Amino acid sequence: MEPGLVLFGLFLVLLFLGVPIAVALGSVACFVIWLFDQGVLAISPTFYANIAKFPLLAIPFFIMAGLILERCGISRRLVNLASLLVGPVPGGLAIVAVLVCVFFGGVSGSGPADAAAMGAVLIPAMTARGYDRAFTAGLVASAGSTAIIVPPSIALIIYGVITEVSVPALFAGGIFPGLIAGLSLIIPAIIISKRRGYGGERWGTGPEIWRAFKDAVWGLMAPVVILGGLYGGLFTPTEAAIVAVVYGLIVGMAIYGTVGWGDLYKLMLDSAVASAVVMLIVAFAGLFAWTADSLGSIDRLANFFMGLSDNTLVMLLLVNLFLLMAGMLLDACSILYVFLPILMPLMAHFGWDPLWFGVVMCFNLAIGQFTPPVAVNLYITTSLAGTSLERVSLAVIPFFLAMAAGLGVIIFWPELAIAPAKWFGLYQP
Amino acid sequence: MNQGPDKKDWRWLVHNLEEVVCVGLMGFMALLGFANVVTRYLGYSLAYTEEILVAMMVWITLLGAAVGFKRGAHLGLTFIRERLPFKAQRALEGLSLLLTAGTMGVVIYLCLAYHITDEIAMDTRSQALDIPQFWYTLAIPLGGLSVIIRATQAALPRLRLSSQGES
Repeated sequence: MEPGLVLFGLFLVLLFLGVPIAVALGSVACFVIWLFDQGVLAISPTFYANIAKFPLLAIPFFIMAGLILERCGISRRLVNLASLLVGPVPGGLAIVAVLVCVFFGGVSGSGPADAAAMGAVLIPAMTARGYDRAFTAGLVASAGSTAIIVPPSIALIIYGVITEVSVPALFAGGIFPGLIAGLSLIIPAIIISKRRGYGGERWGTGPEIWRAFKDAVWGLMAPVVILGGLYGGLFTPTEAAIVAVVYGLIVGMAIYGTVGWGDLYKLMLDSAVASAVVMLIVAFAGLFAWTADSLGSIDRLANFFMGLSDNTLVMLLLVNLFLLMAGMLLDACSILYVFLPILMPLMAHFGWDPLWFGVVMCFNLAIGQFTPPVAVNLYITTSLAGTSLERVSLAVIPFFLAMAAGLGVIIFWPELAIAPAKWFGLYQP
Repeated sequence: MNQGPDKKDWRWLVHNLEEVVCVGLMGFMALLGFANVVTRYLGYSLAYTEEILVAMMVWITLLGAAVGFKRGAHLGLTFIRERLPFKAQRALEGLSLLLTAGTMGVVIYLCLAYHITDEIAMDTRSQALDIPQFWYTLAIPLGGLSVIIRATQAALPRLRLSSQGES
């Protein structure tokens, strides 16, 4: 029997039986390594080595920075400022929601974290002004997913670790695609708001805007500190994440006074658990990928894919459909570890740019974060909005279509991803 | 669920040991990481501390994963399971626990019997600090054990539920 079929087949069975993804990957990998005699002695060292990688250190620190900045109360201040600026445009708050989610994506590297942080402020505000609960939950879930496209992004860090493309270059590649993702969501948000009569607010007066700006300026500066330090060549991604943690602590404890010493315990604990959930998948998904490789399944699967078509456009379409479907079932991190090794030979064969492909892949995974059944973001915003998953699943369809269109733009215009990385001198295709 | 750090009697500590260690490690990592950034700009490198940061991340991964099992924070595809009859759900809960404990057990055994044994026998030392490597590797057996314990503690009450508990 083809060992690869056992490996992937058993994993799919356990996945659908509801076994935690990390455990499903790890148990199947261990079993198959033993069954096909691939050397069980490698299991423990591989498990350790998968976690103990310096670039991965950026993950716990970015998670911590996001949690601290959220606790500072930056969300509320950003929403205040954006509302005054957007004014009486129909669906004003819906536009504000997308803007602040994309903005907070410039601090947080995780879609669910973005949706949770912004949803906690936006969803009550929007439902209080008559927005439909399912529409609100769907909009914030999809806008929150842009956090893994907009730099910093945990998915792009992992992509960089696997493919050895520079992480700062990948981050630069995510800037325009992230903005396009946000823009693509604003269009259906305005159209739907107009049709349903979700009104705008009033324009803010000059002094009001100035006051709201002064109030929000520390939050507005956070991505400047992170990305400015990164592209000014001052920090590595890990250092930028550490600086963001310290910046968040200074703002929360000394400037706003919203974070007390007592909050630190919970903040540290929550960031430890959130990073451990990601890193356990990294460890076991890495073991799974190691197994697939040592069985030779990666090469065979890659050859199988390449045999499907010689046309680069057809293949791109197939790969994207495949990634979209995978994104509906799995989290970003396992998809990167499990499927990227199979896609890398395809990239080389068709001459696809690895930086652009990384951004395209994260765009797909972002869409997967709000597409049922596994949509992590949707679960979060649905419970925040107090509505049912069935209703939100319908409400999210226009946003799904809009983001898919945005993805199409990136696919057919690779320079959008590649050019900024070249401007910063970080990337040579 | 989480009682906060104020109830410091020993029983609280037994139930929250991983939490306390994780908070300590995370705080220390942030301090050390920041010291690293600052000293690099002062032209004095603490680069060897990167090794400690990476090792601490391994510890946090396993201990934090244990807390994750306690909180039910690990991602999984539950939409089919939730639509099954109660007995099937309970059986699948049992399967998840069995696989979690089994896999972790296998990794712990292989780590103790070969990985760490080899490191001690060959006196493997860490690259930058020249510390015996097994101090870092111990994260797998100790952290893994806490994963098994917390996953079991979290699953047992649900497995014991009779079908009257269905609601």
